[in-house]
Parts: sequence; structure tokens; C-alpha cells
Amino acid sequence: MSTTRVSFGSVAQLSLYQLEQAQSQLQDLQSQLASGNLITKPSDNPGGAVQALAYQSDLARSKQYTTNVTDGIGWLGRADSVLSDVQTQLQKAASLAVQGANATVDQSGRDAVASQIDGIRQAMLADANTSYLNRPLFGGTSAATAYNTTTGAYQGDTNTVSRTVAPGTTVAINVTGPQVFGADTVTSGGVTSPNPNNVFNVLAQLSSDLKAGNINAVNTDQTALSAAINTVSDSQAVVGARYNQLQAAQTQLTTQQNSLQTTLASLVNVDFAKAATNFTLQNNVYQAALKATSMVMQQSLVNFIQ
Amino acid sequence: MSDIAAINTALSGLYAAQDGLDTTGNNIANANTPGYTRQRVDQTAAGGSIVTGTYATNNGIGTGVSITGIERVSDGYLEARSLAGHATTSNLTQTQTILNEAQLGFAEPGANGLSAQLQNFWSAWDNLANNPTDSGVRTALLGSASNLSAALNQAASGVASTRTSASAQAMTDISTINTDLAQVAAMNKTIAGETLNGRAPNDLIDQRNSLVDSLAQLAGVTTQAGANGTVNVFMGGDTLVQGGLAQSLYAPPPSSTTTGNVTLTVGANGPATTAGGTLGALVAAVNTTLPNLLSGPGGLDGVANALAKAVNTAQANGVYWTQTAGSNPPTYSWTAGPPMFTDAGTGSSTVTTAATIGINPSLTASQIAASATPPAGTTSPTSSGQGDGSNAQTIAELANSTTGPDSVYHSFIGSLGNQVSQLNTQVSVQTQVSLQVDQSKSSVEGVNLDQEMTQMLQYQQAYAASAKYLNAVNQTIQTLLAAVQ
Repeated sequence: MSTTRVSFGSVAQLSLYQLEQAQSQLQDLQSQLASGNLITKPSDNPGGAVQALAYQSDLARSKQYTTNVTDGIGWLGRADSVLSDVQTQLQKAASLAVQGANATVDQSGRDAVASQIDGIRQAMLADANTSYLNRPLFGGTSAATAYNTTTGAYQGDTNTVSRTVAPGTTVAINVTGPQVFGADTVTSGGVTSPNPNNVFNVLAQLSSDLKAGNINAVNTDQTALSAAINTVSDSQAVVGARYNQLQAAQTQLTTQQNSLQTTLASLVNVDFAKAATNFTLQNNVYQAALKATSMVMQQSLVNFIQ
Repeated sequence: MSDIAAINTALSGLYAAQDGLDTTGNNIANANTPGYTRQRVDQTAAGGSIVTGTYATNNGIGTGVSITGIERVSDGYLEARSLAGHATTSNLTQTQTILNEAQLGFAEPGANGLSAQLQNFWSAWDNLANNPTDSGVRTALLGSASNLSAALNQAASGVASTRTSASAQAMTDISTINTDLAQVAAMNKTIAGETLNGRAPNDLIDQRNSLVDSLAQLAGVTTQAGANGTVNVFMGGDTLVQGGLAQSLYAPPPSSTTTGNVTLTVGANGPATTAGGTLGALVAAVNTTLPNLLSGPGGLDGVANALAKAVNTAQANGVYWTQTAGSNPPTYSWTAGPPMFTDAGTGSSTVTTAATIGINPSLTASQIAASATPPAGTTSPTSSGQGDGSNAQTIAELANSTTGPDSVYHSFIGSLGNQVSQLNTQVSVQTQVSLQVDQSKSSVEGVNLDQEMTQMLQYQQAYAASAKYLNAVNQTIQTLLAAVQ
């Protein structure tokens, strides 16, 4: 029978190695428990670290999309309330027109109505020039106020303002002045003339017809006015639809963020119950190794030779 | 055999037992001495005189015991395996330490790493897209671009400083190695001298072998036994110690922290050589491993390059406006966006390294090209397009690009993590392997107290018995003397 010769030094060396192993595993668990993170450095789990980075980026992007959407919702909410006011004012103008078209009203009465219409026109222009956080709501991508307050001419452009709500997905949030209030001019047969259905033109025409006492023309203006009211309410419907779309996007983003958070957490966060159990287990292993070492290292023939 | 000769036999027994006890004592005393190899008394039975003469006869009875030497109980094969194991372990451990330090410098995954800075940067573009006319948002974007390029600079300089420490450590190691080599050669000389004089310089051999072991860890040297107990030391095919002669290693420090290699030569102008062990790992880290983190495929320089390329191209696709000087009513001229990131060294819009990426020094907040229209070069009488953020939207979406800086950076972190993780595995396997060899070596060469105690009893008994024999011989002679009186 052959036995392996064991040297005093090698027992000590091996015991030390095993103790160190147990201690280092204990330390890993301890650092997991203390930091709450399974991945504290890329080498802990290289694949997981890359995934965690990707999830973190997605999450940051998603949060930024929420910021974009919130900004868009603010913009559209403001536009909606302005358009409601425009509607109210135009309804008021329509009823004033009915009043002015009444043959029983004398010229001074019509003049009074006309000056009210002028007031409404100014209020309309103020509405059309509303800005949201310094950005004109109805001016397209122009930085200037949308309408010239004296002439009622449109100064903006017809470009789209949009918000990014998802990777590669933008949603238009603006309606331009011409879309809401009608184009300034119309071109027919090569001839460009002021657009009779433009809100500001209609109101100016109505006012001047009232002042001139031209009842027939006032009746025509009423038709144009109701056409203008229809255009405004169409725009409001568009605004409402986009508002809903952004709200849906917001809800979706919140859901997406929750799910990203959960996935990220399951990837990088420590399951405390599991880690604590492992820690206790590993601690027992360490204690056992210590005990065994202390017993083995004590024993040699020296103890028995007197 | 004469009675007088019998006294000698008893004496040789006493001496042998005494030497045995002394050797055992020495073994016990050195049970914990690093590098100590246990020793054993070699003894043979001494025969009688074989030269017959008139009065000298030999009746076949031996004349006691003679000590032929005190031998080191060593195993050449295991010693060589142990050296190789130590060299590999220290090589891997050193590389592991360096790369681990490098990966910790990136603080990923976390809220303070480069990845988070990239996200802030893209978000700033989105904020600009939402508020193209707001100068505060523009300034904030410039700020986050400058933070991002500073973070890239910092990451690169972290790697560079690790590299500097590694090359300084290599220089220190080289001078330690040269001292050790000279000492090994000096010890070789003494050992050869002692051996030629018939003495056994066992303790000196142990000390020299300890030095050789530390050389193996430092430089990955291998050995070959020479004449008269000397040992020849080799490294990567070059002879470093031949008997009593030692060469020295030489390496000029690298010319800069980012470029310049450490070239190791034997002697100041000698042939280039390759080290193993710690020095090998340090030289490899300085020459390849650490530079590769920056300029290697998928390295950090690639992140800086991708960032500058993507953003600069997108900037050039967009436009910004300036009010034409002296125009009333104002007119606006539109210009393509200038590069946002330039190389701090060359000023070029093509950025090649993470260490030199910087913000274009001439870029002002108003030159950030948030708008996509009108086309560059046009002059417009209106402010149309100034509220357009669609180019900023496009740039913000670069965050999702599969070839963009984010994606390059994520792969970089993944591959760095992989390298360290592989090294962790290799180190733990190699430590086990090396431990096994050391255990085997120790089981041959190390001191076992049980064995020493047993031998101590053996020698003690032998000594007592020899003393008793001497007493018996003495009494015999006394008896004889009394008879003749």
C-alpha cells in the first residue's frame, strides 16, 4: 500500500487556499448584498452588462420620449383651448351678423354691431397669435407672430412641427394659421385675390358691409362666416385627435418604462432572499473550513511524544 | 576485529545518530521556511579493511557506519513544473489586475458612466427639437456635448494612466530582475566552489532556488542544471545566467503615455527578447492590451470617431440662421451647421481618438443646426424655419442607431468585461493547477513533522544503543586489563 506523503507546509498551504476561496466567495456575496447589484462591473456578467447598458439606454430614450410627448400634449392642449375660444367668438359674430342683417335695426345699430365685429376680429387675431412657451401655435416653423395684427396677413409658414414619440416615429402637433383660419388669398384662373372665406377677411368684410348698410352683402357674409366656423371646428377635431394620439403614446411609454425597469431590475438587482440564504450557507462553509483547519493543524506526533 | 576497532565502530554509530538528530532538528526548525528542501543523512555501512597484511586481517565484520553526505530531497521535474506554474500564474494575475483596473475606470453599468452621458446628450438634442428658438436649451446642449467629450477624454486618460503605471512597474521589475540575476550568478559561483571542495551547500542551493522562483514569477524564466550544482537561467530562448556569469535586461521607457512600446533587450544594445511572468504581462499591457482598449477594433477611439462622424454629418445636413447685418426689415441667411466635434490636436472634423475629441472651439450655441429647412445658402425675408427642430430630432434619434456611438460603446464594454471574465476563469484554473504542482513538490520536498518525530525517535534510540555498545566494549577491555594485572 502506498500513501501520499503530506508535508507540514503543504497542509498549511492547502488549508490557506481553501480558506481564501471560502472567504472570497463570502466577500462576493457580501458586496452583492451591500450594493444591491448583481453586476457591479462588466466582468461579473459580460453579456448581462451589455444588456443592462442597452436597457438603460432604452429607458433613458423612453423617458425622453415621455418629455417630448408631455411637451406636445401641453402644446395641443393650449391650441385646443384657443380654438374653443375662437369658436365661441365666431358664434358670437354669427349671432351679431344675424342681428345686423335684421331690417328693423337702424344704421346706428348696425354701426354698433360693426364695431363689435371689429372687436371680435382683433380678439381673433390675438388668439391666432397665441404662443406656447414662446413658440407661435399657428405660425408653422416660423419664429415670428403668426398674423400681422393690423393687416391680418399671415406671416408664418405651412411647415409641420412634430414631436418624436417613439424610435423613428414623429407626430405632427401643429395646425397652421391657413388651416385654421383659411388661406389669405385664393388663386382662380391665374388671378390671385383675397380669400373671401378667410376668417379675418370675412369679419372685415362683414364689418364694412354693416357700416355700409348693405343687408344683402351681410347675408352673403353670414354664409362665408359659417363656412369659416366649419373650418375652425375641423381644425379643432384634428387637434383633438392628435391630443388623443399623444395621450395614448404617453400611456404606452409609461407601460414600456415599467416593463424596462422590471427587466433591468431582474438583470442587475440582487434577489435579497436568495443572496441572504447563500450568504448564510457560504458562511457555514467558511466556519466549517476554519474548524477543520484548526483541528488538522493542531495534530502531529509532537502531541503524543512526552 | 580488535577491541580498539570496536570502540571506533561504536563511535561511528554515535556520530551517525548525532548527524541524524542534527539533520532532523534542522528539518523541524525549517518546517516553515519558504523554499526549504528537507534534508536526509546518507549513510552506508563501513566494511572492514580489504587489504590483507601480516597483522591486519579481515574476518568480514564491518567497521561501523559512515556518513556519505547530507542530501536535499528534491525532484527536478516537479521543480521545473512549479517554476512554470508560478510564471504563468503571475503573468495571468498581473494582466487580470491591469484589465480589472481598466474596467473599473468605466463605472459601467451605472448612472455615472459614459453611457449615461451619451443619453444626456441625445436628450439635450430632443429638448432642442422641442424648443428650437430657446437659447437656453441651445446652451444646455453645448454643455452636455462638452461633458460628453470630456468624459471620453477622461476615460482615455484613465487608460493612459494605467499604461503609465504599468510601464513604471515594468521598469522597477527589470531592476529587481537584474539584481536577482546577478545574485543567482554569484551564488552559482559559491555553490560550485563548495561542491568542488566536497561540501554540500544545501542551504545555499535552497536560497538560490528561491531566487530563481521569484525570477520565474517576475520574468517567466526557465532553468537547466549546470555543472557542480550550478543552474543556468533562460528567458524566451536567451541565456540570462550561465554558471557564474549574469546578463542584465534593459528597456528604455516608452516615449509617451499613449504611444511608444517597451522593447526588452538582453544588455543595453543586445538582441530583443520576450519575458514571461509579471514583466511579460506588464510589457504586453503597455504595448498591446491597453493601447488596444483605445485604438484596437471596437475600442474607445471608435466610440469617439462614431460620435463625431454621426453628429458632424447630421449637423452639416441641417441649417442654422443668422440675421443679415444691417437689414431692415430683417432678412435671414441660412448656413449648413459646422462640425460639433473636432479633434483637439488637429482641429479636423474627423476625430480619431477618444483622448483628443473636443467641442469645435468656434461653434456657438446659435450655430447648432436644429432646422432642416430652408436649404443652406438661401436668404429669407421671414423667420420661417427658425422654429423647425426636425434636424435636431434626427440627431436625437442617432441614439438608436445600430452603428452609432452608443452601440459601439456597449460592445466595447461587453468585450472588456469578457476579457476580464475570461482572465478571472484562467487565473482561478491556473491557481488550482499551480497549487496541485506545489502540493506534489511539497509532498516530496517539504517537512512532515510526524516523519521527523519518528526519525528523531529512531536516531535517539540508535544513539542510546551505540552508547550502550561502547559501554559493553569498555567493560570487555576492563575485564581483559584486570585479567593481565
